Amino acid sequence: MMRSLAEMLRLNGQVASGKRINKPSDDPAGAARAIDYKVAIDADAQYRKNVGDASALIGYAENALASASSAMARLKELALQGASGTLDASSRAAISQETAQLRDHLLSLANSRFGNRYLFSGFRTDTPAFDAAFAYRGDAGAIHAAVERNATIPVNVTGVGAFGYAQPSEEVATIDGGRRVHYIPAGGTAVTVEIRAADDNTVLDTFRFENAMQMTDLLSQALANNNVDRIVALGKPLDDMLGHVNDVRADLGARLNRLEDQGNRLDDSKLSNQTALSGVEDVDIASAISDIAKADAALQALRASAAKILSQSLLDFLR
Amino acid sequence: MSLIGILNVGKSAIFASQNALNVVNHNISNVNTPGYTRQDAVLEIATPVVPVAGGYLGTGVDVQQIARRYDRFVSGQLLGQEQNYGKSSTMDQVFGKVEQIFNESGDVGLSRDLSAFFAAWNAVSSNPEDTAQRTVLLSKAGALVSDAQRMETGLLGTVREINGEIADVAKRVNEIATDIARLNARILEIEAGGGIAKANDLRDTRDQLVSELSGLADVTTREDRNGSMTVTLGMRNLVDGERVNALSTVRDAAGDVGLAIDGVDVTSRIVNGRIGGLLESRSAIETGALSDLRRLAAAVAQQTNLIHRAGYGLDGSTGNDFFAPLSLSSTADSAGAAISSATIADPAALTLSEYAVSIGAGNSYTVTNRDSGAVVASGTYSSGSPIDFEGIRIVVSGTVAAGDAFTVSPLSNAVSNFGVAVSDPRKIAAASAASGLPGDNANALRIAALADASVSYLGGATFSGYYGGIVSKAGSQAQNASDLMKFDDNIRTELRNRRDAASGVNLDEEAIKLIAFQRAFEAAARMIKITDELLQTVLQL
Repeated sequence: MMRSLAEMLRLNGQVASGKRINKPSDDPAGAARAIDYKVAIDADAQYRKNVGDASALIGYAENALASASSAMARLKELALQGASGTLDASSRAAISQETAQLRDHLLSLANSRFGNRYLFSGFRTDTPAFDAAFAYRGDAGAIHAAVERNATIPVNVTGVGAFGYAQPSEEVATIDGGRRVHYIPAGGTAVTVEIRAADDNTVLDTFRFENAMQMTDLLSQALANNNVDRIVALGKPLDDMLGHVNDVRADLGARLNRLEDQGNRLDDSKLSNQTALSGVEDVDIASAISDIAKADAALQALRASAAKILSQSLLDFLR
Repeated sequence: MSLIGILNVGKSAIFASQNALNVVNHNISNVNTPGYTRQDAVLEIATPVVPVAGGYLGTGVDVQQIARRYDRFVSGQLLGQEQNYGKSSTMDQVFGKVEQIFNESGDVGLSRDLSAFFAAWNAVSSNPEDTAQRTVLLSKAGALVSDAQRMETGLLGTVREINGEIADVAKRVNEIATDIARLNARILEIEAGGGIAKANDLRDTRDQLVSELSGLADVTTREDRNGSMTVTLGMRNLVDGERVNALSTVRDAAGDVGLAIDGVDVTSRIVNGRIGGLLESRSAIETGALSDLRRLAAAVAQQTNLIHRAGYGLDGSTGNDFFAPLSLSSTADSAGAAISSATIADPAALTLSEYAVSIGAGNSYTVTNRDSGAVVASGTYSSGSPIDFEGIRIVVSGTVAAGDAFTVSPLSNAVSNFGVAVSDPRKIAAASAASGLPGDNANALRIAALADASVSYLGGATFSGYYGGIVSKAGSQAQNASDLMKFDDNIRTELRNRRDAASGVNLDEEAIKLIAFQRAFEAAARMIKITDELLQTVLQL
């Protein structure tokens, strides 16, 4: 009778807590599995947060680069305009004003901050990516975010990666009067540009830049100084730079897509882990209640029969 | 036979019935007395017989003895089962308590602390410059530490309760032993002379005491020809006739309570009954849950520290421990020597094993890894010179003798010394490359990845997997103990029923006997009345 009562109490506890496992001995293997699921749910929740943080960071960088991209496009227009033979020196100087503005805009984009961190400085997030002389002050650090078990995704682009100029091999272009422009890689992202005479290889003019800001600064100076050759020579790098920035944007967009997928996957995995946890841990209310009814019936029967047995004695019949 | 002779026959019948009625009355009175054994008046034909022509006339009836209806076989089985039940019910209680310590069914517990701790590292990796996340990490680490310590305190508390209870039970064993010795004396007194008189009720009391004693420890009993009982426990005499050799408590090096009789340690020989259950569950906790928990805490501290020391904090500091570093504890079993220092020389080489240092002939020493059984160092002992093995350096000083033994363990203090060593959030080493790189989160990512890493200190399990194993072990121990307790209880009930069938009082049976002896008494009285009438007839001749 005691045992039936204990069984009733156990079933009652299950219904009250809604859980099949109220202590490890109720199902030792199930208890360990429940821990696994809970840990997975917790970990997924943190990964979900990481995905959110990473998306915000990458989204912000992508916005900055979108802005840079339209600035570059405008610079291209201005360079074309400035190269036109119909313009006089004072008009070029006027255009130079706008390019100088765009140069400063690019610098401020390259030194974007998200919260208190500089986006394009690599690991040196406490330092602006480019100084006033347009030299890179960050490092090559790639910041990763953990977005699932044993998987990380890079969340930053360094200033060099986003705004650095890339000239893989020497190129030659011919400009007005048969002069030739040589674009020579000069280590890292640096490029040396030489404008050579048409007949011999005499170097008439040379300049060097590493990144979009320096390039824009050169353009701005060339416009101010009415140096048409330089303006023309800068046309190709401007084109390339715009293409490069758009490539980086595409890469960031791809990362955002991946993060979005990952976020969805984590949501799904949370749901399936919760379902699994509930399968292990939660009580099937319907069956628990029918078990209670059964235990109750057994208890009633026991009580009834015990009452009968205990009341029977020969002494009752000997009056 | 004379008419007077017939009167005597009637008298014997009346006495016999009266005695039998007395016994029935005694049985009925004790129908609910625990341990009472049903008694029967055993009647026999009275001697001598009177020869008459054609045969012999009987002389009536005698009460030969008042017998106890006692089934030695069932009673013996029942005593054994009382011991089993005493053990399994104790283990059920203890393991029920232990599993509550590891109960994770709520939303709190060490596994949640562990995952929150590693999630906090993940959050730091998301925002390595942010001191807010770092402060959260410190508080999560603090929660992990305090929960691990709460659990260890719970387990140690259970061990302490067990130790206290062993002493209490030993006291009760001594009380019972004293009572049995006293009863031995009185039974001898009553039954002296080898007559048929039996001290039935005293024997019942003594059997009842033995039954209680059996629930406490695995005693064996033997009754000699005189009816005196010898009780042995752990191959020593606890009760020998009227003499009691009381159980005394002794404490071992670890502070655990053991038992001795006559100065001889019998702890390891007590394997059943309540004491057996207490001893076995205590060792199961110490070598199981407690040591597993300590190993887990040591592994968390060790793994985190190894990576953390290689990283750089926001303030540029490096080489810092995140958790308080492991410390060694040692014991010495030697008359002239002791371990004067034990330090971790190379944390990276530590294996989280326990070591035994033993001294052999000619002052040679060997150091054995207790987990792997491998000899990790050996040589000739010289006082004060260091012995190095597996990242540990110990110095033993003093005069050693063959047979001296020392132990060194990095685990014993693992939970009590478990603590967060970093207090300044800026010192949390999230960066891996160099100082002054606030955006560098590679070290934080490395530590966060420990959550899913297979840990060699834990036999290749992950932290949470290992902890799940501890919980599941605690659960199955409790489940097994509870099943065994129910099983033993069933058998005990069954045996009690069988004992009661043989020795218990059945009111129906007693009622029938009541009627039978009443009628016999009436008939005997009638006999005497008729004999009296016969005598009247003779006297009126």
